[in-house]
Amino acid sequence: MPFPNSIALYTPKLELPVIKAAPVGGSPAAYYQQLQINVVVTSSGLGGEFADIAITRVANPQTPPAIDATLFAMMGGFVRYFPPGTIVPSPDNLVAPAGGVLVLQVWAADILAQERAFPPTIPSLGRVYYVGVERTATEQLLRIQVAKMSIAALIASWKDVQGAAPPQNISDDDLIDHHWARVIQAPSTTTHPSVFVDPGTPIGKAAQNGAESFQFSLRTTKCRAPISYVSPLKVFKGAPFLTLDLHSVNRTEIENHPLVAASPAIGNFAIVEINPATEDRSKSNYITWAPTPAKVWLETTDGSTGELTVILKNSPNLQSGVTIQDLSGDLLTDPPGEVVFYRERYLSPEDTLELKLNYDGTPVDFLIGGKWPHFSVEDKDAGVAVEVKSSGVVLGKTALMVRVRRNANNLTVRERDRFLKAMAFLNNSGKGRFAEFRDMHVAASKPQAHGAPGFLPWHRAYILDLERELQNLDPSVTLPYWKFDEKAPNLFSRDFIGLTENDPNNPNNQVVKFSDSNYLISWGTDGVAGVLRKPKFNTDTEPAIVKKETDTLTVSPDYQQFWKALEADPHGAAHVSFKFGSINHVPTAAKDPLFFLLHSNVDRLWAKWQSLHKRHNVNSDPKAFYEGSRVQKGHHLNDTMWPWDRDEYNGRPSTAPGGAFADSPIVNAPGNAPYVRDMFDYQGVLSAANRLDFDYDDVRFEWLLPTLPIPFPV
Amino acid sequence: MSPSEYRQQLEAQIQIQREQKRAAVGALENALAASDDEIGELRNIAIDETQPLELRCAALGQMVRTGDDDTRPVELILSLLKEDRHPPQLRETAMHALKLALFISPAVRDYHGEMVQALRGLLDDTKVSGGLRTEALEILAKEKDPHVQLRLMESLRARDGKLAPLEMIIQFLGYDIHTDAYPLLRKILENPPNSEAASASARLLSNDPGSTETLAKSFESSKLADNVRADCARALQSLDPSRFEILAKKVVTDVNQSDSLRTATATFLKRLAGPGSLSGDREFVQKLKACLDCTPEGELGGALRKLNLRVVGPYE
Repeated sequence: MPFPNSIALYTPKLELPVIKAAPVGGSPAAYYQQLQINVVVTSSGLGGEFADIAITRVANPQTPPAIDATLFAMMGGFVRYFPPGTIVPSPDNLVAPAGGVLVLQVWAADILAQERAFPPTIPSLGRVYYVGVERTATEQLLRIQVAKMSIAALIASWKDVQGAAPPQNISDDDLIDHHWARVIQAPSTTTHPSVFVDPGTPIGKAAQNGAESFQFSLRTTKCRAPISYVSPLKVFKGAPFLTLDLHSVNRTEIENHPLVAASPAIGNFAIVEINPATEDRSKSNYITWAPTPAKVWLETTDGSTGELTVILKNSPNLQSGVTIQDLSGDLLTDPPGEVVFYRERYLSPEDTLELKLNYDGTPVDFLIGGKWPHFSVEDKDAGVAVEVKSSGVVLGKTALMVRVRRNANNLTVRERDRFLKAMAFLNNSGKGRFAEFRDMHVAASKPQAHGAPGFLPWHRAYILDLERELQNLDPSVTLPYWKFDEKAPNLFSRDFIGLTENDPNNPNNQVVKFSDSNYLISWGTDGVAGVLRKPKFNTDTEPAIVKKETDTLTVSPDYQQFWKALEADPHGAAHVSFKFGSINHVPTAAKDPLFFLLHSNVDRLWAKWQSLHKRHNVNSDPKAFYEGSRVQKGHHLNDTMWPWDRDEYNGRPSTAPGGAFADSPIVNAPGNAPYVRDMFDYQGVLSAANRLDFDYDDVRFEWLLPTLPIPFPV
Repeated sequence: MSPSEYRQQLEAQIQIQREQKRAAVGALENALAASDDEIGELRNIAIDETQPLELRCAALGQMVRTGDDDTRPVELILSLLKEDRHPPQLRETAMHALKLALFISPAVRDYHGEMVQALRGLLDDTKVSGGLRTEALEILAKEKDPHVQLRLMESLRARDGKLAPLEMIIQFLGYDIHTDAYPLLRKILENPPNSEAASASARLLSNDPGSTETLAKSFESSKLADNVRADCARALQSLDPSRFEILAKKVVTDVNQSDSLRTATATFLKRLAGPGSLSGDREFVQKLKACLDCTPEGELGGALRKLNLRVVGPYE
């Protein structure tokens, strides 16, 4: 099969790194060959998340292996797919197993960079294997690169890019980020770096098809804030590679393009693209309950013409042999994420979809959504298969994840650890980007976010902004929720959000303990390590001291009463279910990672209330929102929301921390400076353009149809 | 499950909850039923000394939840906190209600000064429990009240535990840490009255470059409890990663250290050591291998093996 799952599943998992520029005037090919480093990456199976990376030294740099004649370590790496049964250019002449093998070549020093900023689902270090080469030789090469990152050199890099010395308190990570930015950017037209692209990649194909310039974006693992970059690139067609000349690059942060290789096509095959508008294909195959755009088309090399009837169906993609354990220690037996199809908006979901595809490659659009309540628990554990109706032959498969927010108490061990790792990475012991989120929820923010109708929209935006940052680190992560009206012993444990031990000699003990293996063990905020939290309830056996969920949902079908009640109890009541600790006070609450799980649940209650009462349409439904008559800016539908709007006047707080609202690779909403009104139609039931790309495991998607009459007490 | 079945199921749940709620509202609803002024009625119940204490507390709590812009709940809460003639249980409820109001009530903003005064008063109120005093102290510390800063610093110097236990004094200082606290915290770590205070000090010192030496010595000190030494290790790593790695390698490979400290340190080292700094240290690699050979499975053995994986990889 030309497009096996392993490509789609695996290649996006590696944040491929940037290149070191070749010296001016020399031959880039010769320069890179001197490295004598070849990196072989193999997927451990269909749907596998493990990256087995082997570094091998080329025996004779002058005579590279025949099957892989390119030894250039280059920006974005070079990825090639070896079909099952073929010989992989590895020290032991590995025969590619079922599913095939991917070979990746990267700059040796970038292995270090990957270790620094490995995506959370890829085990770090333990998966970097040195095969067939003395480790001292490999490390010697790595050290050369490290040596180039001396503080003095990094500071010089910074000056070069920024035009001034870095601030005194700048971290080494930031220095390295800027150093790499400097390496990749071209200071002039004569000292530009080059990129070598395999003709089999999408970029290569585009160039082969005659494109002289096209949009191309690059990203480095070392740059935290991706910046979209568009520039015409000159294409040099030189065998066996196409060279993209980046002489026009001039920027400080770069976003990379996932290079997905294609083996030579034989016969007919079908390609399914989820979220086709998503430029970064490594982040496109994630769906929620809400229908999301998709397309399918045929590709052929045997000259077939006319139409072919195919059936799209579920194709579970959980890696064989993987056991999934939940936090109670039980093994999950349910199937992984499942999908449903929609021919178009407002039609009912179907488990299978019959379509006619033309051999001329014309794509056919459809919509795809998660099949409630069958969410994914592993990255890309679900999938779509395209079968020929008449023969049942599978023409193609695409893996995807039904990615929804889940009850923290019910997560799997691996879901928990992916979330914790991403949170810890964002926090970086108090020195990371998380500090800005903590700064958003301080005393000054109180009138913007509390005690007024904008309370729910503001917090929906706030946690979504954080979740998108987490997904930048690991796209399989969502923000779990603490269902505070039920006991949650799996959440309040040393292995998850931490445990405050009951000490009879110290009844006011508020120090939260983490297990040694918990990523949160290095949590810190504002220069203080650890978390403080003293619950008033028994976290093993009791819920927080809050109103039950059904009571909350039935307070009123009118937003005016609903938000007030929800903000007080259970929201406020959940916060003050802790006698001591940062979480029970607005200016300090966001120091505690539990805060975000609490607010995920508050938002879920609003989402569930919206679903129950069909309250998504703020344009025509007066009960979907209530502005009041005298509330301040930030609480009207047509107000922008602080701090993303950078408004430090008009009664807003005097500072606006955190920058613009995080982009999503999948949807455009809500934009970098969202309005209050952008937060209501989060599933896109009114308009697909409104969709915010999140969902909850127990709040299903339904098209907005006439409201069913439900009696409620006066 | 179809959408209609889902809806029916939810409606059935709602109906059950509705009936339970009706049965539970009891006396409070009856009292409120005939009134157009719910807040006023609740207030009357809360201040009525002839009413059962539980009902008065419930009324006070309900006032805050329904108060919105009404200033009467905040006024009542503050008066209860100020006046020591009220029953302790009612004042504790008032404290809880104040915390809730700080989250949800726009009215409380207009009473910030009065609130600070009321809470300051509790610090020296002999009729309140230690717990209530400590809660007042915590709120003021989080509000960065300068008066409380002074009181916390005094307590830190005196180490008398009168205001609150020493470790809580230190933890509260962490909400608005000032540099003049660092020398005192270093002294506590060097000569700790208890391990809780020492741990709390180490956590705050993780941001003070002047404390590197103290933290390094404390990490090495066999006089300190293991958990304190582990906190010192983390703080040291934050301040001086190179120094941390040197000391951590010693601890991990020292069979005379306790298993728990070696386990914790091995985990930190695995998680926090810089790239190449472990595998490049041949002496450490050899010592670690020697330790592995004589360490059985168990927590320490597991931690050492994971560290070794990080160091050498499975193929070496």
